[in-house]
Order: sequence, then structure tokens, then C-alpha cells
Amino acid sequence: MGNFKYYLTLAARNLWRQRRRTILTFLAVSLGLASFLVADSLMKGLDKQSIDNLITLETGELRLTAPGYIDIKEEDPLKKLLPKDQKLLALLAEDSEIAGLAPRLSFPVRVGNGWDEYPQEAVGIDPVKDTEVFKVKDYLVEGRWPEAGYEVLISRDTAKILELGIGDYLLMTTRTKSGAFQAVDMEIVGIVNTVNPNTNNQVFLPLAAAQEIVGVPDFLSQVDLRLAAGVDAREKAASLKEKIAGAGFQVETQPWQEMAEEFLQISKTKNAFIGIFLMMILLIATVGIVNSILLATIERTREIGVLKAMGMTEGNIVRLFLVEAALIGLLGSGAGLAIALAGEYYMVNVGLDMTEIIGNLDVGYPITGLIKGAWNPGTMVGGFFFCLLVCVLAGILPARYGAKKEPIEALRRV
Amino acid sequence: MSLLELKGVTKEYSRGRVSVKALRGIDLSIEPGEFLSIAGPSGSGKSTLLNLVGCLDVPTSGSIILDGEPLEKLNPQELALVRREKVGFIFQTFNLIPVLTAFENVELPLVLLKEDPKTIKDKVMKILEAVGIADLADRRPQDMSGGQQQRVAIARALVKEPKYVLADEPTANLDSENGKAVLEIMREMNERLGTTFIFSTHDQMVMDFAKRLVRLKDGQIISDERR
Amino acid sequence: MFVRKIVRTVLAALLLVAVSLPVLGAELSVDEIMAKLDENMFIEKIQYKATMVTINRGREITKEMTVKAIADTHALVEFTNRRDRGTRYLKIDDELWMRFPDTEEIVKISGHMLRQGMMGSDISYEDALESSKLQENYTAKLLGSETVNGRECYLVELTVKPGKEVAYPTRKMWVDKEHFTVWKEEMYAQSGKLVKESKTLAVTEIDGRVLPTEVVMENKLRRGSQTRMTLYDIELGGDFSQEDFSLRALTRP
Ligand SMILES: Nc1ncnc2c1ncn2[C@@H]1O[C@H](COP(=O)(O)OP(=O)(O)OP(=O)(O)O)[C@@H](O)[C@H]1O
Ligand SMILES: [Mg+2]
Repeated sequence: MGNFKYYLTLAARNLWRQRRRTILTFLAVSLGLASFLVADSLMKGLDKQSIDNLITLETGELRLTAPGYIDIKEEDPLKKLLPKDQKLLALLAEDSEIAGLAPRLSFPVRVGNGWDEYPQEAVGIDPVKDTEVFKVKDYLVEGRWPEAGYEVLISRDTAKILELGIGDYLLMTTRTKSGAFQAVDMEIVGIVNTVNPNTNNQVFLPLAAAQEIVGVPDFLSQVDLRLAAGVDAREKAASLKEKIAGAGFQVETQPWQEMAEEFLQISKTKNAFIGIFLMMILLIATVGIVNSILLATIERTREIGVLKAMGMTEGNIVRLFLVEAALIGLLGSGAGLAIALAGEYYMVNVGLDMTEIIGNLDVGYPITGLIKGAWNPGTMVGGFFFCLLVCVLAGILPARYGAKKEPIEALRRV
Repeated sequence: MSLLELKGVTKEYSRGRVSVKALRGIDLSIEPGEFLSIAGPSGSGKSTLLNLVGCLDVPTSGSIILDGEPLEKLNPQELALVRREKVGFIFQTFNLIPVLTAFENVELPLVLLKEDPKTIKDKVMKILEAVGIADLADRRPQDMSGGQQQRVAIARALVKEPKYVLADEPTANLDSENGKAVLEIMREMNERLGTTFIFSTHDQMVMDFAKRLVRLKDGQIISDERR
Repeated sequence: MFVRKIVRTVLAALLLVAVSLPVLGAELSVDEIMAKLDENMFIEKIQYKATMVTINRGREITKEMTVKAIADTHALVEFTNRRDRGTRYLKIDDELWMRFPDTEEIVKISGHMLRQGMMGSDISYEDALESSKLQENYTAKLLGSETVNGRECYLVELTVKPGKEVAYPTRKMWVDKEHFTVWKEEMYAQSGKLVKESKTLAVTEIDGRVLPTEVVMENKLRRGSQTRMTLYDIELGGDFSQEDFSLRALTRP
């Protein structure tokens, strides 16, 4: 132990002797770790927010559809519909694990102003029940929520592109279930601007109007559910399907994880990106440490000779330099952690306004505007020790190079 | 039994195609407690001889027997351990570790021998007093004169009570007064502790201090006198 | 009706025309009108060249094509204007294939693709493919008489029969009382909103039949969007048979 303390003193003093170089390496390690941790925090926050947005604005936590609906949705969503059965809805309403249910009917439409038209998804909603599951209404920027008749809520982007406002009529064309042309004028009663870019491609109208327009009274494309706190969507999907089958209805249940697959895929790609980030930091730390230790062994060649004459073995010398590497690593990682804590505190509590940085880009993330970080204690602990380990490992090669020096050669050099 | 026994020791350095015969067959035996000076002109092989005896290098041929054990059988690791336990070094240029205080420099050999802190403290203070610089224990080398630094070096070489101390021109970087003081300390230690000293020099004053004087020329012993 | 056929020709192309029997004087029942119309439309074999001009918000796109057709079952259309040269469509009964000249790839047009405008025009593939047997899908009702382009016409309203699936649940046709060509047609959405309107601007008489040679189709849901077809070099009959309408014919250089 006394031995180790001696090594530590020696290493610390030598680091202090070369403080300029030490500080550079220290900065590389600490800033590298800190930026990695903050980036990871942002990514995690982005994921969390995106998933929240996806669930509260687009998918709900669990979706009930007619069997086979998912497969034909892109081709012809009206082909496989769910009967709007009161018994089924009552069954869902009674389930204590279900906190809200929103019957919806969605189908592709083209919306226009008589000059231009764009493809969108029309979503028929139950004006009251929909808010039990979705938060679209919270993002109303003008007007009101559609209540009855041929009223429609559109996104601010759509309103802007079509140059339409509250009270104007939106020309909506689609096909009925039987394939007939359908064209209706919808009164715009509300404009929303949600943080989910996908919502910008949807128009919302009362369920009854939607059913009338495509000619499917008493049918739904889905019932979206919000689950009670702590209920696992995947498990509930399985158990609910059985329960409903027991009551004599055939449905398919889809937890949000499946609906978010595409997004989760992006999230994976992004994790690969984080991996690359990590490699870069690793490289910077490694180069810093190797450079530091290598230069130290060169400058202190004579000292190595003296220590060897005193009876230090190669192992002792390696150890001496590794303690130096570990010290830089410890200080660098420690400082990196501290900076990351401060940075993440800011990211979690204040956040980053993406609109200021990149504008309202659709980058495949169901998110716009303010991005907040998420605490990542696991990554912090892992990152700290990983960084430390990398520093020590990076020190091994140059330390061994230094320790190999022959004592007489080392001593001869003046 | 002799402390050191050199039999037909040669050392050849090869630099590219040129090879230099630094030692050409040295036979020498050194008894415990000797105070021996190796003298000779520059390039005569003094340093080479000390390095071999100090286990810092291995001979090209011949054998060096330390305490009855031939050194040529040892690997670098084992040689390091021999140095750690049995050999003290004093260098012409002092070679103190610049970031350590006098105390810490002297402490090093004992730390390597894993002595306990209390013993270390006692031994270090005692030896620092013996060489007359106890009051400089907390100074760094850069804040000491050459003479003071060499005293620290002597203390460092002696603190572990080695079998023998090797000193390669210990006074060459000191003025004559300091050189003399250093030599006196060395001889006092030799007499008090019985430590064997082997030092090289080409300074007549230093040779006069020696109790045995071995003269080298062109890598060979040309005289060996005891006084 | 006439327009619908032309459209069909263009694309999947069939041809119209049959021996038109001048029926003068006596008012006909709606079923008789429809029968005469079908009769006039039916042409054994036809080939012609056509120019299709699509105007959308002031932008004009012109395409040239040659068409060969047998009755309303087989048609081969080949575009000849520079940009689309080599693009071909083949219709056999109610199936449609398209061949891209660049990749020499053949694509069957089905499902939702049929609802798209053909080559950027206001005529959908669906319009072009529709079976000529109007009476099978629609109930016809005579609303009265009107004059269009100075011609006396029957105004006929078609309403989809229950259980039949058609693109336009309601349509109105103005049928020439003498030649049984359609001078004007309106197509309505389920909601009753006018979706498309086609008008015959010019006709010509060949072998005793009166054939429309210039038709304009307007998309009523998009202001300023219309497609104008002009037919020329029309030849009834020709040196080809059903065997010439095959997937191999599509790829033939
Ligand atoms: N590492 C080496 N490589 C090649 N030649 C060497 C090496 N070390 C010493 N020599 C040569 O060996 C000979 C003896 O050198 P050594 O250093 O032992 O002499 P010295 O008596 O100590 O001289 P000085 O009084 O100058 O210190 C010299 O010719 C020297 O050039
Ligand atoms: Mg020498």
C-alpha cells in the first residue's frame, strides 16, 4: 500500500510537471466523455419524447383492428373494418386496465382548395372520446375541435399550403367503400400544430361524417386505447385479444411498439450513430493518452534508467506509467461526468429548441420543436468506467515501450 | 568468500560494422568492506566495468560471481532484484528524481523493498543526518547545490545498507571542496557500516582516498595496489 | 359516352363507331337510345393517331400517340412524342399493362394505380378501362331534350344499380338524336358533386358514321385542369388481328 502511495505521488508530480500536456489530454478525455453523455441523453430524450408523441398523437398505446386490417391498410383500408359494436365498446370500457378508448375511422383522401390538392389521411374521430386517448386537441392553435357534421380540423402546414383558414371550405376527395368517387366540401373549424410531423398529414372530422362520406355507417377502422398506468402494452395486447375472442369478436390487437416499428428502426440507426460517436471519443482519448505517456517515457528516459538501477523491474516501470494514465483517466472521466451532469441538467430542464437550429425538418422523427434530454445514469456510470479503462489500456503500449529501455542506454543519455 | 569475483571478463560493443573492445579480460576479486578505486584515462573501460559489476549490463564473455552466484545465469528481471537488494548506485550527475524531495528520493529503495513506513522514516532520517542534510529533507533537487544533491544520492545508495556501492566518478561534477566532503562521507560509511565501495575516477585526489587502487588501460588491468 | 370511349381508346384504347343508322322523327324510349348508342360505338377495327393536350394551371403538356383497337376488347397505344417515345399500353379485356421504354420493363396496372390520371392527364386508367356495357351497371332515365353545339340531344341520366361498383354513381349524357354520338357528359361523385365533364368539340363522318374527333375532358374539382384529345388519320378496319395484341407486342422494338 505504501508502495502504491509512492507510485501515486510520483505519477501525480510528473503529471503536474507536464501540466500543459496533462491538461490537454485531460480536456480531450473529459470533453469527449461529456459530449458523448450529453448526446446520449439527448438521443434518449428524443426517443422518449418521440415515443410519447407517437402514442399520444398517432397510435395510442394499443390498437384494436379487424383481422387482416394491418396488411391491407396501405392498399385499401376500407376493405377490413371493425363493426362499431356497443357490446364490444362496453367490454373495453369496463376493463379497469384501459384508461381511455377512441374509436376511429381513417382512409386516404386528397384535400384541396380547388386549385391544388395533396394526399392526406382523413381520421374520423369521436369528438369526446378521442381526447381520452389522444392529445391532438391540446395543440389547437386556432378555432375549435370538430363536433358534428362536415366539419374538419386541419394542420397549420396544410392550412398554409392551401392558403385556407377557419370558416373556409376544404375540398376533400376520396373513394367510398364501393369505389365510387366521393367529393365533399368540409368546413374548416380548427387548425392544429402538433409536435408530431405525421399529424401534419392528417385531417380530423367527426366519426359520423367520416362514416357517411365513405359509406360505412357503423364501422370503424380501429379502436385506439390508452392503458392504465403500469400496464404493459404487449402483454395487454395478448390478453385483450383473448378476452375479446371469448366474447365472440374477432379482432387483432397491436401494441404501440409494433406500430412504432419504423420509428424504432430509425432509433436503432441512431444508436449506431452513437456507437460511432463513442468510437471517436475513444480514439481521441487513446491518442491523447498514448501521446502523453509516450512523450513522458522519452523525456524521462534517464529517470527510467535511474529507477531501473535502483532495482525497479520492467513491470514496476509499466505500473508507474499506468498509474499516470489512470490518473488522467480518472480526472478526465470525473470532470467529464461533472460536465455531463451540468449539461444534462440543462437539457432535461430547459432543452434544445430544434426549430432554431434546423427549422421544422421532417427527419423521420415524430417530433418538432423543443427537444429535452433524459437522465442516463446507466450510461454515466458505464461511460465513466469505460473511459477510465480505455485510458489505462491506451497507456499500456507506450508504458511498455518505456520500460523496455536498457538501463545503461537510459543512463548514458544526458 | 569474495564479494565479487571477475574471471576473464570481456565486453565488446558493436556499433554497426565497428566493434569496440571496452574490456579485454579482467580478473579481479573484491572482498567485503573494501574501499576500491578504479582509475584510468578516458575510454579505458571504467564505466563499463562498473556497469557489469552493478548488474546493469552483461559481459560478452567471462564470468562475474556475486556472493558465490554467477550473474550470467540471471535474466533481466532477476538482475533487477539483485540490484534492488544488494547494490547502491552513485552517479556522476547525481540523477535524483526531480519531482521528489530529498526524503522521497532516499526513501525509494526502501519502498521497493516494501519496508514498512515507520522503518522507512527512521532509516531515511538517520541516513540524512549521517550525510549531514537532515534539514533539507523536504527540498527538491532543483533547490539544492551539487554537493547537497550528491549527498542525497549517497544517502539513497546507502539507505538500504547494500552489499556494495558503485560510484562512477562521483566527484567529477563537484568542486574540490565538495568532492572531498563527499569522499569523506563515503569513507566514513565504509568504516562505520562496512559497506563495500567501488568508485571510478581519473582524479589523483580521489585516488589518494582509496584503500585499493586498480588501474585500467585499454580495457585491461595494468596495476592493482593496496595501501 | 362517346368521350368515355375515346378515353378508353387512348389508353387501353378501343374504338368506337359502328354503322350509324339515321333514326329520324319518332321519339325513342331510353332503352332504345342506349341500344343505339352502344351500336354506334361498336367498331370492329380501328386505327388512328391522336394528340393529347393536358392543361394544368396554365402549364400545357402535349403528347402524341398511335392507337389500334379491336372492338372494345383489345387496344394497343404507343406514344410517339419525344419525351414518351416507346411508352406503350396494352389492354386486353379489362386488364392493362404498361411498358417503360427506358427499362423495357412491363408493369401491370392494377388496384389503386388504376385510379391515377394516365400520363398526367385528367383521364384515369379506370376511365379508360371501363366496360362499355353501361346498361349492365346503370339504370338509365330520360330527363328530356336539350340542344348542345346546335344539335338536338336526348338528356339521359344514369344511376348506379344497387350492388354495382362504379367510379361515378351518377352521370348525365347528351346524346345526338340523329347520329347517336355523345356531345356532352357529366360525371358525379357519391355526394352529387360534379367531378368531371367532357365535351365533344368536333365530329367527322367516316364510312357513314359520325365520329367525334375532338373531345375535351375537364376536371371539375381542380380549376383550370383539362385534357383535350384530337383524333386524325382515322381508318376503320386494318391489317391486324387479336394475335397482334400480346405482351410480346408490348416489347417489340
Ligand atoms: N554503449 C557503447 N557502445 C559502443 N561503445 C561504447 C559504449 N559504451 C562505451 N563504449 C566504448 O567503450 C570504451 C570504454 O568506455 P567507458 O565508458 O567504459 O570508458 P571510461 O573509462 O568510463 O571513460 P570516461 O573516463 O570517459 O568515462 C570506450 O572506447 C567507449 O567509446
Ligand atoms: Mg566513464
